[in-house]
Amino acid sequence: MTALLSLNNVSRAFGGLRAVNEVTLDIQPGTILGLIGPNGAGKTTIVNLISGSIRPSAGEIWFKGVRLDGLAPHQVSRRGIARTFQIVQPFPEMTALENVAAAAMYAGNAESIEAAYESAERQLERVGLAQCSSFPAISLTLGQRKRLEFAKSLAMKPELLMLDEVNAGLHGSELTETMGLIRDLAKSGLTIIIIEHLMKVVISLCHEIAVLHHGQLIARGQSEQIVNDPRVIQAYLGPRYSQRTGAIAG
Amino acid sequence: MLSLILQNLVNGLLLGGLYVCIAIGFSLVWGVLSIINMMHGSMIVLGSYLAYYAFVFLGLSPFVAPLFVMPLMFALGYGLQSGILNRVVGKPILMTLTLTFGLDLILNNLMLAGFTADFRQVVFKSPFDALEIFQLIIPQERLYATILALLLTFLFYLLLNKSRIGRAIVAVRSDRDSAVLMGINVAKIYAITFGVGAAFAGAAGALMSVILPISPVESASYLGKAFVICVLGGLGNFIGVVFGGFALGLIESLGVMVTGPEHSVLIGFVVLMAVLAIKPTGIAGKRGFE
Amino acid sequence: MGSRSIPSWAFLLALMTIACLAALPFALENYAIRLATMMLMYGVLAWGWNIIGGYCGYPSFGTAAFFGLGAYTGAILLSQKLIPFWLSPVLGALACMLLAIIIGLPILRLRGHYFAVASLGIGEVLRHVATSWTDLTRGGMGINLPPMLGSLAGEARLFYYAMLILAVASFGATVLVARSRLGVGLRCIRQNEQAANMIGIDATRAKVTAFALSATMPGAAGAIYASWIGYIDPSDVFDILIAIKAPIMVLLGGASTILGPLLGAVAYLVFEELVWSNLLQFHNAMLGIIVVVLVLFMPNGAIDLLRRRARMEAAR
Repeated sequence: MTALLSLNNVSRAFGGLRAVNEVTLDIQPGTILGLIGPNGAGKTTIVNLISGSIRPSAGEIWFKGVRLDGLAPHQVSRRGIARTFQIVQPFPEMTALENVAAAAMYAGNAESIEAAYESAERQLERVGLAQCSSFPAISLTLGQRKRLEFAKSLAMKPELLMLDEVNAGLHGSELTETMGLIRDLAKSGLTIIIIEHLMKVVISLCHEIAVLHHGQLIARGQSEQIVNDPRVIQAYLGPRYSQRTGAIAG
Repeated sequence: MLSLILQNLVNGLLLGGLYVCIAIGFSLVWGVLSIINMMHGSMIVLGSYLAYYAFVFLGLSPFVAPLFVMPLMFALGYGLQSGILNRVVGKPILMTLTLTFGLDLILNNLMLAGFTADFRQVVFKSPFDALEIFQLIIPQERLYATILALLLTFLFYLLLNKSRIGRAIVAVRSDRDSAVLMGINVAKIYAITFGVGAAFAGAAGALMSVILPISPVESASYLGKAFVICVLGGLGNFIGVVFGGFALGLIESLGVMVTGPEHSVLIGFVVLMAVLAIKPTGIAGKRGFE
Repeated sequence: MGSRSIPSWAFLLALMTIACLAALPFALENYAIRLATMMLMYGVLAWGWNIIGGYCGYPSFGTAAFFGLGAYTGAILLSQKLIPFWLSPVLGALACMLLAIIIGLPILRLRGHYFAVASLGIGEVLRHVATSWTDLTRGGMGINLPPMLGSLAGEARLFYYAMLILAVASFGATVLVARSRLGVGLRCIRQNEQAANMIGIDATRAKVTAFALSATMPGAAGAIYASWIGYIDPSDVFDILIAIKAPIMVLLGGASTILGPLLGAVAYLVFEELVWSNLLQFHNAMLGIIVVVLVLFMPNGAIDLLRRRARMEAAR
């Protein structure tokens, strides 16, 4: 199966600092890939590179057989890649519905403005924000704004969805709902890259995990593998957690 | 030919020193308050008038005029910021720009009504001889004005870097919220900043009164120069302003060799557009004011 | 969001207003007709500014540049008798559109202050060029355009209708933009340009389009103005005050709305006529005071103020 997304030896330097260092990564369609690593490991930089916000200093990025690096963000969006931001970025004066409709009518390629609004209503339903659709985006709570980002991304009809800490600040039922939504999306064929710190989310959601450290990819594989990989455990999960997972897996 | 170029070079340097003083207050206000002070040109002209009338009625030399012009202008600036401008700090650019534009309309109109548009000139009873060094002609009053301007600029540098108030201003610029937490009265610092900007504008004007004719219609061209200097040199950056001031002085003096003196404004703007197109953060571009 | 089709009462109201405006010259004498023409012109300038400054959020001070360019395009071509009168606003608009695209591409990359002052600079440079390029523009002496019709009344009506057509066109363009995908895109750009890019909006293209469109209106207005007044010179048509009046009028009425610019233009003209014709010497200072009051107390314009009052009343 050809990979949906390929990073070939991608590097990105900021002055003297190599935020991303010769990362090579393939992602098959339909996978949920968890991208983990400590702060500053380069996870968000990789998402920025894929989405076109910044360009690689070296290497290539391929998506569905077409070169992605060098394209502007709006072009990348229109090709079927959507992302959420760690610090949510809604259009504050517009309502939730208008926010999502805007995404639908541009990257989502809606045939008409009416169709865009219809799509927006559906996406808001899907993420559980239907009752907030006419509220201005600034009046939403953090959890609601995160789901709004989700809805906007979905309205863009992506094939690849990149979620950057979409669960940060969520708990309890909100978290469970979001996780359920992500699982459903993957089942419907969406490929998802998810940057997460919450290990329980990563382990229960992701088919595969990629681990970044100082910009380099130090491990990549099936979730159980990675979690039990001694290098990874040592560096990131800490001794206590490794005992716990040992208990679950065993 | 060479001597012509050298002469214009010297003219440019002399002009440049004055230009630095023109722009220093403007850059401070822009860098710290994020406000483009459209009154800056008129404040310079006002400083010129204050020096001129002190000369005419009190016989005070314009070279010492900054001593009283600066406190007066500081008071004006402080009052404007406290009373009016502090209410729009942080608001969208359109608001701050049109507000200062509106204030300038008032100031300029008042000056026009009070002083008329007739050009005034400080005319010394016993005019200074021009110095002649290596066949280069250096008018003495220009030389002294430029030296004083550079002294004032140095004073500004000391103020910002060595005084408590100066450090507070820098702190507010770098991180306003932290400054508040450290007990700095930000509103007062803003007012002081604007006051300092006005003071240096007035001082520049006082010194310029020796060299150039004074009239309210000149406000716009001073404002334009201040803007070009800040863009050339990079915003909120002391060295940048010095660089920008001299650069503009040289560009204008050398440029008019090619185009003729009536096009000096055009030269400035063309350079401005070119710099904005190529490197919008200016040649030494940085954001914090150090 | 509700139904997106324009309600029929709004249609009717617009048609009736246009009809009334069209009938106006038969009820007024020349002075009042000229005043009404000026009001329509101000509306055009305000609508033009609203597209780049209101919807898109880029504070342009280029209105004077385009007004002047349109005026000179019209005046030069007409004085050489190269085109009929009705073509002058079209060509004025076209010239401005081209200039806006060429200059817009570099300067729309700039943010905030830099863009504002760069746009102001265009007008200053053009004014300077107009003053110096005497072969083409007759420099400071200006260009005279002889009257086209015999009678004063006829002239007054001709230019009134010319400006009315332009005003209706500007209104129509504003409605189209506001209700189109471009309008949504511009609003997104104003609120968060980075996020706009991320949802697939080609911000550069949208901004340049908005800038070009917003330039055509003062361009056409300038061309009509040249024939109407019969004489133009650089400091008159490139007057920096034109560049400040447009945003003021829009701020007065309410930016990013369809009717705000018109309301602001009317209000502004009323002020100008009532207050300033009596205070010639302090004309600019009065404008300055209005600006200060406006920005400090009514930053979102009259429409927003009225809406809020209505909401507060309803809440009681």
